[in-house]
Amino acid sequence: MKKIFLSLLLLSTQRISAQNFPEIQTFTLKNGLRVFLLPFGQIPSCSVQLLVNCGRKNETPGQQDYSQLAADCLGFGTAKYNQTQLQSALFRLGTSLQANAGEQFTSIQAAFSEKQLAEGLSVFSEAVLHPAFPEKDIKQSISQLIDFNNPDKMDISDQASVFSNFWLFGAGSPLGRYFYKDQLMKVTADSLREFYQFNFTPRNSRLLLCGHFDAAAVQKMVEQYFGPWTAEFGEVNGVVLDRPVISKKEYAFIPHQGAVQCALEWMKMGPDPTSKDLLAFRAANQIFNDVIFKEIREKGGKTYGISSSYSVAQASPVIRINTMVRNEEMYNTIRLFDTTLQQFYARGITDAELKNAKTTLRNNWTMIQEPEAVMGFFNPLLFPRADLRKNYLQLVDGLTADEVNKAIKKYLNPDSYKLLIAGDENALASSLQHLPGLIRFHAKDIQVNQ
Amino acid sequence: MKKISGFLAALLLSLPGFAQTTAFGYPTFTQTLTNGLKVVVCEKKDNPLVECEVWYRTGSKDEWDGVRGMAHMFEHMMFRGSRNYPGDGDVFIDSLESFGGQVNAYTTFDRTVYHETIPADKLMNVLKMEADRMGNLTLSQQTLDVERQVVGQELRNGQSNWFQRMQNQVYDHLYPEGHPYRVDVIGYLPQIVNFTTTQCQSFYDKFYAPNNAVLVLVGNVDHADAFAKAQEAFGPITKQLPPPPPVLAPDLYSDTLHQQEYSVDFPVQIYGYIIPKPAATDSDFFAFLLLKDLLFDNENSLLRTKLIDSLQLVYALQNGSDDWSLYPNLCQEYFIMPAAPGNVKVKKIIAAEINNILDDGIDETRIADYLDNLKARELKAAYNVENIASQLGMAEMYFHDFNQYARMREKMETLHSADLQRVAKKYFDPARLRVVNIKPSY
Repeated sequence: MKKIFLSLLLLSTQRISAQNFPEIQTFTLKNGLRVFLLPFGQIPSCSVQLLVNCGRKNETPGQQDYSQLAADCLGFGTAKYNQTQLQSALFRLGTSLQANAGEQFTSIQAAFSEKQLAEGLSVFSEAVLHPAFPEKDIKQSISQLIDFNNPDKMDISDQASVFSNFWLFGAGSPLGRYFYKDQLMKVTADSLREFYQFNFTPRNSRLLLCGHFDAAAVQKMVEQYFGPWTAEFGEVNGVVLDRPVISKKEYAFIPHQGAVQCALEWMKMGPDPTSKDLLAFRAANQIFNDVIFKEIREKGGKTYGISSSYSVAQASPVIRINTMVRNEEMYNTIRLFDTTLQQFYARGITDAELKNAKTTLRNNWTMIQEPEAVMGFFNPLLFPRADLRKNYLQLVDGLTADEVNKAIKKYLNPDSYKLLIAGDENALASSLQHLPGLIRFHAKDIQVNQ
Repeated sequence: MKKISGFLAALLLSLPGFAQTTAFGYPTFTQTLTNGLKVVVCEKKDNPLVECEVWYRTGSKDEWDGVRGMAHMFEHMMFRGSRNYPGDGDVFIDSLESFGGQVNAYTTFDRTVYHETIPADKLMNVLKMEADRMGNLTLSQQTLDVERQVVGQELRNGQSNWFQRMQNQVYDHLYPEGHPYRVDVIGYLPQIVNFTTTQCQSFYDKFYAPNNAVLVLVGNVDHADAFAKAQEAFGPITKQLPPPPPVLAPDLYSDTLHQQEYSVDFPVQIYGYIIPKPAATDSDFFAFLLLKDLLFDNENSLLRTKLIDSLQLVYALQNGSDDWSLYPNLCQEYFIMPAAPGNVKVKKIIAAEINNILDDGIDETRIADYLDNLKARELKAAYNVENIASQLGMAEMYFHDFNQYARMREKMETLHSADLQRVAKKYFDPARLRVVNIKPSY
C-alpha cells in the first residue's frame, strides 16, 4: 500500500518546471553534409530542415530573386515525380514542402510522423536533391511575381520595404537590388539550375532533424537518402557585404497614388549578429519596442501597430521600425517618434524594464513548443556552437542595466536614421515639405542591374 | 488487491465532482461553476506552459445598427483596465508580458476569444485578471477616444491591402438584410470613431457574463487545482445573462442566381465563386466541409491541381470566409488569375469538375488521402497548447461539448463518395451559385 500510495503521489505531482535543452548529436557524411539530431518532445513526429548557406546575399547583378526562385523550384517536381505527384506524396504524409530564401540562407522544411519518417525522407530528399526545373512552372512563377510585385501597384507596406532596402544598401548590393519585369523575363530553367548547382551543395548545407525518433535508425536513413548527394562545387565562401553607414537623419519618399494612409519605415544599424553586444542590444530593442508601442499607439492612438524589429533569425544587422498612419498624422507621428527616441536615449532603462526584457528574451527558449522553433533556436548557420547556445539562459540572466544602456548609446542615437515614406503624394504634400533634403524615388528607379 | 481498490476508490471520491475524458491523448476534465462558467482543463504536462482561453459567445452577430464594429472594438477595450487592474495603456498586456506571457484576442461573427500562453506558475495571476475584466471592466471616455482611433487605423490597414479592398466591395452585396453576418466584423468607420462609453457599457452588460463563456486551460496544470483557482477567481461573479432569443437568419438558399461585376486596382483578374453553406450544427456541415476542401481549399485539391499546377491558368485560390458558423453562411472562393485573357476557360473547368462530382462522385482514394493528411496534422498540432485549446474551445462553442473536438475527423471518416455527391447536388446547384467577376481597373 505504501509503495502504491507513494507512486500515486509521484504521478500526481510530476511536473517539468523548465524546458530542457536537447542533447544534440552531430555527424558529418562523407560528402561533407553536416547533420544535427535534436531529440525533442514525446509526440511521435519528426521535423526535417535543410539549411543552405545561400540567400539574396549570393545574387549577382541580374540574378535578383534567384535564391527564392530556386527554392520554389524544389516544389515543381523531379525526374521521379511531377509537381502533382510530389505534392500528393507529401500531402498523404501530412505535410508540404516549405522552401524559403532569406537574405543569408535558404530553409527547406517538412514534418513527418515517426513511423513515416523513412518514406518522408525519401520524398524530401528526392525533391531537394533532384529538382527538374520545368520551364513551364518557372514561367508561371515569374508571371505571378511580375503581376504581384509591380512597384507602382504593390501595397504601401511592401513598397516601403522594397525601397527602404534599395535606399539603404544601394543597387550595388544584392540586398538593395530588387527584381523587375525585364530582368525576370531573362530567367531560364538553365540559369536557375546553374545557380542551384553552385550553391546547393552538401558542404554548403546543414541537415537538421528534430522531434521523437530513434537516433541510430535516423542516422541510417540520412546516410541512405543524403549520402549519395554529390556536387561539383563545395562550400561557398563567406560573402562579405559592406555594412551601410547612417550618420544623420535622412528622408525619402515613394509615391502610391490613391493610398488612404502612409507607411513609415525607419532604419538604423544594429550590431552584427556575431557581435558581443548582441544580447544587450536585443534587450535594449525590446524595451524600445515597448516604449514606442506605448507612446505612439496606446497613448497617441496614431496607429494600429508599431514595432522595432531586429532579425536574429535572418542575421540582419538592420533595425527597422514600421508603422502605417493616416496621411494627416504623418508629420505628427514623425515628431512623436523623434521625441520618444530622444527621451529614451537620454534617460536610461529602469529596473522593471530590464526585468521585462530579460523575461521576453528568456521566453525565446522557454516558450518554445514545436520542433520547428527548436531548429530555429539552434540554427547552425547562425550559431555554429550549439554548446554555447545552451548557455543562452545564463547569458540572459547575467545581463546588466549598464550593458543595455551602453547598447542604447551605441545603436539608438536619435540623431541618425533613414526614414522611408510610402503614400499618396498629393495627400502628403504639405507634410513632406517639412522634411529636409527629401529624396523622391520613382518605381522605375529599381530597374537597374547594378 | 481489495485494499488497493478501496484506497483508490476513496481517493477518487474525495475529489470534487468532475467529468473526465481525454483530448489529444491527454487527461481532460470539466466542471461548471454555479454561476454557469464552464471550465475545461486538459493536463498536458510535458512543458512548463499553460494556455488560458476565455471564449465568449458573442461577436459581430450581436451588433445592431449604429454600433457596427462594436464587438471587435470592445475586444480592444477589454485590455484597458478593470477595477482591480487600473492604469493607463494596455494594462493587461503589460501585466501579462511582465511575467513572460504571450497574450492576444480575436473577434469573429460568432465569438470573442481572449487567450494567453503563460508560465504554469502564473495561472492564478491570469485567472484573476480574466475574472476582473469579465466582472469589473472600467470604461473611460479618454481610453475610448484613443482606442477607437486605433481600431479606425486597423480598418484603414485593411483598406491598404488590394485583396482586402476588393473583398470589402464584394462583401457589401453578399448577404440579405437581417442576416447576422451582413456587416463585416470590423464594422463601419463612421460609426467606430463615434462610439460612446454608454454604447460600450450596453454591449458589455448584454454579452459579458460567466454563463455566456467557457474557460479552457491546457498545459502543465492539475485539474483539481485549476478548478479550485477558477472558483476562487470567477466564483464571485454573479452576473447572469438570460438565454438569448432565437435569431431567424434569412434564408441564403432562396436567393436566386445573380452576377456582379467589380474592379480591382491590381494587375490581376479574379473570379469569385460563392455558395451558401450550412451552419456547423447542420447534419450536412462536415460533408460540405470535406467536399469544399477536396474541390477548392486543401493543398492537393482538384481545382488547385488542375488550374494552378497542371494548366497554370490561375495564380492562386483564396478562401475568403470562415468555415465554421452558427448560422448558414456563404463560402467564398476567389480564383486569382493573370489580367488577360478572360476567365471563360477557368469557369468552364470549374463547372466541369463540379459536374463530374455530380455525375460520378469523387475518387475514394482522394478522400482516404485527405483523411491521412488530417490525422497527421492532428498529431503535429498536439505539440502546441494553443492548438489544443483552440480545438476544445471550438467544440464547446459550436457543439457545447469539448469532447467533440475530434468530431470533424470522426464524421469525415464515415463519409464516402455518395455522401459528397448528395451534398454537391444540394449546395452546388447552379441556381444557387453567385459569381463575381473582378477585373483590373487599369
